[in-house]
Amino acid sequence: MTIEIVGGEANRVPIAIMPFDIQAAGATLDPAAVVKSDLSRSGYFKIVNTGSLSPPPFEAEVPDLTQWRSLGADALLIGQVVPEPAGRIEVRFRLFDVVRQVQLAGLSLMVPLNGIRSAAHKISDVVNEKLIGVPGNYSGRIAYILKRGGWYELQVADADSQNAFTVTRSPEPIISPAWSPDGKRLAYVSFEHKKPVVYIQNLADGTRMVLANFRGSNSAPAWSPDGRKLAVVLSKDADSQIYLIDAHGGIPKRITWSSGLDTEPVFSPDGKWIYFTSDRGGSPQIYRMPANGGEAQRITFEGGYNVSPAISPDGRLLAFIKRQDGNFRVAVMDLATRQVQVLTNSSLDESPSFAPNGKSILYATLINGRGVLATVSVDGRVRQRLSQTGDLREPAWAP
Amino acid sequence: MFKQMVYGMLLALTLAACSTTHKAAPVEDLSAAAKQGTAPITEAAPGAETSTAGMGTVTPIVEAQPSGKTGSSAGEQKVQTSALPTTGTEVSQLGGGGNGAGTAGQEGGTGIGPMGYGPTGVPGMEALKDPHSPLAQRVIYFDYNSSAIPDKFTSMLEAHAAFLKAHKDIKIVLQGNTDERGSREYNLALGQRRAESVFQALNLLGVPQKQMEAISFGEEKPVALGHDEAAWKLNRRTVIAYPDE
Repeated sequence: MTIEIVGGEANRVPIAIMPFDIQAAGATLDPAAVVKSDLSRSGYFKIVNTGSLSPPPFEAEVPDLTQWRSLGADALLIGQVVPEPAGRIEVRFRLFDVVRQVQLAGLSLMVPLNGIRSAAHKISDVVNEKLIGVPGNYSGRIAYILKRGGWYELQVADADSQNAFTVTRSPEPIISPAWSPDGKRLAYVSFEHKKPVVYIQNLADGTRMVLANFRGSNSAPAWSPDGRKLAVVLSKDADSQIYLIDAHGGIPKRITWSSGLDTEPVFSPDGKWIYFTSDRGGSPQIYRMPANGGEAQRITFEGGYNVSPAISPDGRLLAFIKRQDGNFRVAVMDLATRQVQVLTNSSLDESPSFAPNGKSILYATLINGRGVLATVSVDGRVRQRLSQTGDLREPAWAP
Repeated sequence: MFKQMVYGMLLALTLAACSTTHKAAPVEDLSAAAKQGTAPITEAAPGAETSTAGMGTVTPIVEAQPSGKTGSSAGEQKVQTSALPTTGTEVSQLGGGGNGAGTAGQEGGTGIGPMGYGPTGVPGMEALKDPHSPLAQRVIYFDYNSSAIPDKFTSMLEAHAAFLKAHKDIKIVLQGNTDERGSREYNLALGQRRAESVFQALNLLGVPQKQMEAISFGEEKPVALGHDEAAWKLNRRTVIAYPDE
């Protein structure tokens, strides 16, 4: 999978990233290469070409930065990888404000020998936070479904889509992966029994349990913020309705009693509300109700098709899919003002999911008949496309 | 074959769990099975005695006839789960250890009775395979965003109802489907409504509810792969699925 930036903003922060000194530790991967890749695809940074310039001494208090200033860099990153006992290594880095000639960050990360890539993503997170003001999403993980050669694979990958790993594969469809709040388990819907059944899989050992396999369809799992229960959609008693079920299984408790179909539940981060999609008013719209059930309020009004709610980690934004002129696009609503902004110009977007920092939305879209994953910043200014052979869908950003 | 294998193992799990719990309420069975299910599916006791007793509503009704006979051959295609490598390690291929659906398969138990002729005037089992029988039609198509059954499918549904009433041992699954547009989960619910619509129609024609299960594939099982109305109208459908279909 690679990433293409399909849109960006004019004012990117110019940063010089020098090769890290990796010889002492005998490392084969330079963290600087990973950081460069992270930052350049974010849309917020421009990597300054430093030519044959040598890095300043790592130990200097604040090195002379005039050479980097003359190259147009606003910031400079240097670092080194140092061997440590017991098969571990230390990744050190320093970040300087070239204009003001001050150090912005200086940290050391202890990791196993094979931990350089994850250490580098953490460095990218810090650089992002110091220069842009919000933590980066580079060290996060994503889950998604890859359709390949007649198989459906539930994969987990780094946020840059490296290290993709298949956690479940099936000849029948898999949809709706949902991360547990601790990031250790995935709930999902599998059709391996020729009907939709909800499973929970433990990522550490690959074991799994059936969460809901009732008469009819079982789908749309969503974890409560404390990880103790899930909202699911069952059709065992009526049209698709929302139920709560203990994360260990058990008797589901019905919490919607509508004449329409209710689906796509998702908890607000404070656990007080469940947002969901319902056609009780004639067209599919997003509603919310108290998390244990109760009277629902309609949230979306504009347009005849608003579905797939996702709530930002700070609880302030609602991302959803909106039909607009026959196209299905990612939109975001400010829940305080109820202002809606459509963020994409594609035609078949699906499954929006917030990044942990709340600044970016991961979604699936269709390009030339193939499913691809993409991200868009919540202000709509930066869009990226992740690409891989095969058909990708149903992305979910790990908490 | 595959579904029977996996189902059989889940059933075995459920029953194993039942035997350790004092209550036999159907929903609690699932709870117990779920807890039990934290073991890899591979290890689900494949040889357990199976029976449908006490399974209640948690079981998919069509598949609730495992023979209890187990074989040793795995299905050609199976679900595999794997452990995620620990953080900090770089792994790019499927791990070997945690893989695997089971090694034991369920044989037989298809739920279809012996071939033969039904009561006078009602087609026998062979009619299901006769392309000239009205029973050969198994698909009801729907208008956009609708779950109303068009009139032209009335006689076909009557034929299925008559057949099912004469063959009460046969259980069917009504599989609702939608076109590709919009949310997958919303489409799953829409497909469910299309399946329920046919369920109600057959029930009104006298087919007992317990002989049918309505489920949805949403947009996941298109028969036409195009991205236009010509394809979409073929995908908005409910399929009457007889055992092993």
